[in-house]
Amino acid sequence: MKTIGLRLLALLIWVAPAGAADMSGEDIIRKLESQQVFDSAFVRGKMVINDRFGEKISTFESWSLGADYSLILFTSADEQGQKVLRSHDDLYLYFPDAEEVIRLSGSALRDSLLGSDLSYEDMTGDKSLLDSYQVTETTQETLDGLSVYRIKLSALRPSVAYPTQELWIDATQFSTIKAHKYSLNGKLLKVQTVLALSEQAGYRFATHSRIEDHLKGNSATDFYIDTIEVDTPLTPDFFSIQELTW
Amino acid sequence: MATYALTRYTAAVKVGLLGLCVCAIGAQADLQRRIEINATQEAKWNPVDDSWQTPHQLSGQLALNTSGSSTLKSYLHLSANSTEPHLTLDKAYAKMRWEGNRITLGKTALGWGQGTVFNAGDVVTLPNQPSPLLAPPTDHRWLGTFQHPLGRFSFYEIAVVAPATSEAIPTASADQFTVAARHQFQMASWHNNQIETGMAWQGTSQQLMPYISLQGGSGLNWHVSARAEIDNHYSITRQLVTAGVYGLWSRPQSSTWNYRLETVWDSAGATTERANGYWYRHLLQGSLSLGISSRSSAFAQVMLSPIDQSSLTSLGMSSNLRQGFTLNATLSLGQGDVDDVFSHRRTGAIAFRSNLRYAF
Repeated sequence: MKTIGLRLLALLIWVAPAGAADMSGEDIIRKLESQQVFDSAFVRGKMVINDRFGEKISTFESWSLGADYSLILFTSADEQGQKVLRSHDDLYLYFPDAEEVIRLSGSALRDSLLGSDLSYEDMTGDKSLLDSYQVTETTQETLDGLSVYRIKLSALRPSVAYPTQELWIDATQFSTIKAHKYSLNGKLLKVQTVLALSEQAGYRFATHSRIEDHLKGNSATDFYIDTIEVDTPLTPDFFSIQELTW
Repeated sequence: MATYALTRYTAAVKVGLLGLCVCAIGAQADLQRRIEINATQEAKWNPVDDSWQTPHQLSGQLALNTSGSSTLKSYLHLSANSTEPHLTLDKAYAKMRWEGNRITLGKTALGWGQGTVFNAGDVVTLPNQPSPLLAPPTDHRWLGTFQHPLGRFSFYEIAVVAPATSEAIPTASADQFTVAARHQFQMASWHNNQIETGMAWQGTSQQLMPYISLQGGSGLNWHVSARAEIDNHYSITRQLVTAGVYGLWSRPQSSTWNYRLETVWDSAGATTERANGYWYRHLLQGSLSLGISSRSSAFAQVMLSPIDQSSLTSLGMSSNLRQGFTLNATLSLGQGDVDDVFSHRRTGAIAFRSNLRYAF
């Protein structure tokens, strides 16, 4: 369980590392992921979906363990009590009014979460980038005054959500500053950007990040973290149908 | 006299359960509330006099639930509407758990079996529906359940369920209750496919109902359920099989198609055309919905009766206008002869329904 449960948090959390020079793209990715040192996390936050009609706010709490387990509870009025459980490649959706559980497998992970610009896969974790991608290009450049590595990734298999990705990684902190995600024909699908940071208990958190879906035009989802607890005492047994329907 | 005493006793139990829910809510500090206001306008064509009925309704709902405790949880849901001006207790329950075991007491739903429109595995709340079209979307009952976990996705559950009623504080004698048990588990050696099997004794019909539901997701999400209904003379009076496939097509992170196809075969259903309103041996249902944007979706649903070749088609949309405000609209069209199950010559065969919901 060396990777974090919430993949989105890969954008958001890291500890201050030592610098590195003459590293390969793979080394940079490993260094980036090694900063995500906790196994489990509890997060309380909100998603703000902005589009041409205005904004829609959904609040949530989530628990995650490793790359394979996560549970999201929605607390906002529109979705109150709905839950999403991920266990490996299976998704379980719980609708409290009917006490109904719907199980989805495989491609469902790419579905939009509550109509936001995040997919379930974005929200609930994935394996190491190097399990799914190979580094095709590594360059060093300056982004907004910061020295960054720009790394291009190409998918190793067609089943991944984004055939190519481009990451800008802080060359000092080894944290992701920005990510571009592309379709097979090279069309830009999503842009993820870190907008605000804070530090707590030795970890630095992106308390505000933005995910823009370029296929939806004027649509963006802002993701805020209000509370985060890492290395919480969670076991796989927590991510069960009993907890889903509680 | 004994039945009268028992009736009073069961009513007292239900009042007690409601009190338990209220007390559990009151005892816990972390209280969440949800208020929902609905304004609904319908237009239904009446073929008898070629007129349109235009009923409308305003309703309000209040839900209170506790959170934060890992051992005790309670929920209370009340509603009222402009056509029936009294409070309705839709849901009220308390859940308790220890060492993974869970007890639920109160009025709530039970999600047994698999299937959204047709579900042969639902032996508890909808065992004898004359038609899926007449069944309420969610049936909340007074009940008590005990669940014992065997693994993350495996458990035993037993349930004692009161019969359905429209009474505010319902009464029923013990022999009218349904007693049921089920075992749900996943088979690691079979692609983690889920198996649910159990049995119910329904007091009102004096029938035993064994059932099995299978659900899998290897490439395609699917489910199959079957049940038999056995009377006091050990004769099988009815067999029901339902099946379905469902899933999502997600275009690259922009829009999502949801599809669902379900079918039912009912041995007790009619095999030839007969007077309208009756249950047929075969029915098919297909639905397709499209998530257009982060706020809007559209759907099309067709219910088809192959025996009389009639159908009911519904087209609808849902749009989140502002924070908390959701507009839903549905147009339904029946297509069939006068005696067909989905006859166009029936009130409501052509109907439009709009609903504006505000939740906060």
